[in-house]
Amino acid sequence: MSVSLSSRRRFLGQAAAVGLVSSWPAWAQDQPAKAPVTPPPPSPDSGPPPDAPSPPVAEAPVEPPPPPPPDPTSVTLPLAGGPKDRPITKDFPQKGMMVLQSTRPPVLETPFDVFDKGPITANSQFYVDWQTGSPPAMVNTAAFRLAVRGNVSQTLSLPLSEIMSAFPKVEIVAVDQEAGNSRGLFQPRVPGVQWGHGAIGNAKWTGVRLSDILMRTGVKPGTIQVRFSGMDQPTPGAPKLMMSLDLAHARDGEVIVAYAMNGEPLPLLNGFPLRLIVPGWYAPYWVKMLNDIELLTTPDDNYWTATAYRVPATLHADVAPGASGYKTAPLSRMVPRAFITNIMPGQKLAPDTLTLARGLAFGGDNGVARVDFSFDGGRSWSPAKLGKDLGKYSFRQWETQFKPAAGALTLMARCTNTSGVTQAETPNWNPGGFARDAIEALDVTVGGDDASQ
Amino acid sequence: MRPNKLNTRLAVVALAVAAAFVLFSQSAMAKKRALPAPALLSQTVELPAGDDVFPDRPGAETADRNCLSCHSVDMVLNQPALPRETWAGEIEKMRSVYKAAVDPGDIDAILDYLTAIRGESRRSWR
Repeated sequence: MSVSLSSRRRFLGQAAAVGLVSSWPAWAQDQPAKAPVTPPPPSPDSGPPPDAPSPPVAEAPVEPPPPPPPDPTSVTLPLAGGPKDRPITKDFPQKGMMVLQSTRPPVLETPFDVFDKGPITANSQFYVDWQTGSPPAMVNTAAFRLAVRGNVSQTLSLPLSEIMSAFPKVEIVAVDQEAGNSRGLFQPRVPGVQWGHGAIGNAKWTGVRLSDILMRTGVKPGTIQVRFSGMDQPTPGAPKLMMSLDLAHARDGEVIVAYAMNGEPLPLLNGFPLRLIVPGWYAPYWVKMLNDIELLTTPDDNYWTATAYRVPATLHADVAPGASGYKTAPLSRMVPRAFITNIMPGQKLAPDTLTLARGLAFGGDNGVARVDFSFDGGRSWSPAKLGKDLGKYSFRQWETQFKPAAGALTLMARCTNTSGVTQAETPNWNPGGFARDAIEALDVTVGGDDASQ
Repeated sequence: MRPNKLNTRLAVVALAVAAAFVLFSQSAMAKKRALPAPALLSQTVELPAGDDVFPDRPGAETADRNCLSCHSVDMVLNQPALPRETWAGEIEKMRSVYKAAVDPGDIDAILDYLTAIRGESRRSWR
């Protein structure tokens, strides 16, 4: 108990040093705020006799932690230009403090300091993204059915209880990243949600294999794609969000229909009650509130699959701004990325002091082989120590130490995955603002009068 | 005889052990299967209305009337400064793809408004 309290407080101290405490969710702040246990006042007739030796001094009362600073009301995102400020909101159901990108449809970014807490992103601060309209505000789990139809031997209409009991349970830890994560750093700027780096999260997903459901329904010959859609309805007239996978991918055993996220039902805004999990692929395929699976005999030509989520068919999905006439391909596999999470842009570091750098990396469609760190703007690199491996589709925490000399420094972290793919040195550009994968640069100042540790 | 008896006894014991194992593993399996999955209870939530309007200046009411039935105003106000052509493309996308009921007579006023609040002269990029 005291151990966990003191380690908690030490963590708080660290967090306070980089200004993180204020954006902790309520659940994290409750714990240290508990009043220390004080002994009950001695009752008059059970008190020690006056001449008895004074009892050994009770354990010194734990010093009450300082009151947490007031919650921040806004945050400045590290975008390529204005407007960079966003409100911090706690107004969304089942969500703690989130960066408000759009109220309707709900689009909420994970505050970046959340990523310094470890490789798993808490449900209460997991990012939220809806494309058109808003999700239904009510889900009746007794009436819910997952339809499996189209080119099948037997159409299915599966209640949740059957999905959870009739198929083997599987679990996977996987990064969920919006295709437009970090879009606000694109230069020239492109329209769309101006995300910082927080349209990403990593969770343990529990559910059943899509391949088992397809086995039950019976895939008829001639099936080429499987299309997924959810309970959400678009604004009137707009195309309903549907995404498709090739049949072989849908059957590969890795794609799952999840009913739990980090051991709990999904928050409604993250896709309750069922969400398709497509490990290693961008989030548009991770259809939320999944209630319809359709087996197709012709390529899916719906707007979202055929038009909206396409990227240049070039290395790093990169084209010159304003270019036209290039080939495009459907958005698909993710690529490696790495972030420094314990040092904020513009932070002042102490000179000639051993300094911790820590962050997260993921390998995209494969595991993290290595993370390298540079504190000279990418001229020299040294390997960082990797944390626990939670699976090849998971975030992996990394850390290293460095001793900066006084001056202005650019810190960088670079991930290489187990297929040998590494990050681009220069940022990519495409008109959708998709698939940013460049090595991110973080500028800090070392030394100076007001340098703090 | 004795060895046979012993063998029989051993066999009986072995059978019993095997049976117990089978029974145990079956009951364990049965138990596992019978374990109630965590029930998914129905959920009802309340979402913020997002009913703020565009900052006041000429054209704001036209933008309110045409844009805010599909999305809240922060979706627009968080956009960077964009070339007028890009804004025109966005309005066209809202009309043709998302079927937004934008009055054709209002398009120029909306474009002027967006360019005034989030516009920039066209950049030199190709």
